[in-house]
Amino acid sequence: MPRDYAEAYFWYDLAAAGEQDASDSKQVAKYRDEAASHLTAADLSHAQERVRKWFEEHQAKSQ
Amino acid sequence: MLSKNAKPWIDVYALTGKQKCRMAISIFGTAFLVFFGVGFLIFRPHGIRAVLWLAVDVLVFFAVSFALGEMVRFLRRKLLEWTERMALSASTQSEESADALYFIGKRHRSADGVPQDYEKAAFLFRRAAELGDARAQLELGNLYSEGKGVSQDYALAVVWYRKAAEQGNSWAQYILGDLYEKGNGLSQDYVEAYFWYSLASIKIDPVFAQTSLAGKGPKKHRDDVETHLSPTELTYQQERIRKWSEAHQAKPQ
Repeated sequence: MPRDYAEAYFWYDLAAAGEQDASDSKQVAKYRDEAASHLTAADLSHAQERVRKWFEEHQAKSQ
Repeated sequence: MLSKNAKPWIDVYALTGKQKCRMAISIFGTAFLVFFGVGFLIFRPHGIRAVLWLAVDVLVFFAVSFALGEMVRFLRRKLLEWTERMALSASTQSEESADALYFIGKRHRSADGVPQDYEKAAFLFRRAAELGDARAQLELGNLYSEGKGVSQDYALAVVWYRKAAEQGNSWAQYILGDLYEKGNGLSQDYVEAYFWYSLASIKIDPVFAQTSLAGKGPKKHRDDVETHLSPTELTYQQERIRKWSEAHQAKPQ
């Protein structure tokens, strides 16, 4: 697959949020931050916005 | 001239099957020709038979590699089947077998090493859930609310979510709070929603705090439903939450 740090950030962030355990989450967050170090501030905030949107849509689906 | 967005390499995953075949044939064909060309030049003094034996050696090497790969695939599949059969057999109904059933169920649900099969996943999750595995109860609730592998049934989904939530599974607690707030599969009840959101926030909010979802977790939802509660209800629920978390802290769940 073509390398895409924004996409990596998106999935790592969701994975970190989905962990049951805080220490597991911290481990995933480390990988996510590694991906974030390759992103510009604008790309980063866009990726974060995508995560929030995904979570809201996903919650709406369970209605 | 290369355009600005052109990639300097070929994106193999974006190629069609035909293009991939052509690429493979050209790469392997060239390698083959070079290999035998060089082989012929080197082994010519030994006669044309030496070159043919070389070709046989190469073919045998590829055939053996292929056979070994297939054998490993076959054994992995059998191992999964045997584990499944062991976990399902009546003589081993324990926590360990519930654990195995949950993980095999997850592999069938997510098509991990086996073809995707929601019905089989639902069957395995149900066996594990009946043995008291909270994660399997949550998964089974999900399958019921999505209607995957079973016919869609919100009431049954709520039954399994509640079992998992009562065992301390924080995601089941979060979902149950959501169902109570919106009145899905049960009658709307802000008091119960407050109770389950509060319990879920104990574990989920610290995890969310490390992500982009900071401040969007169950604590926010709890604060939203809190406005619907009277002061007496609120103090009563807070006491109930305190007692519940004290009773469950003794258990490592």
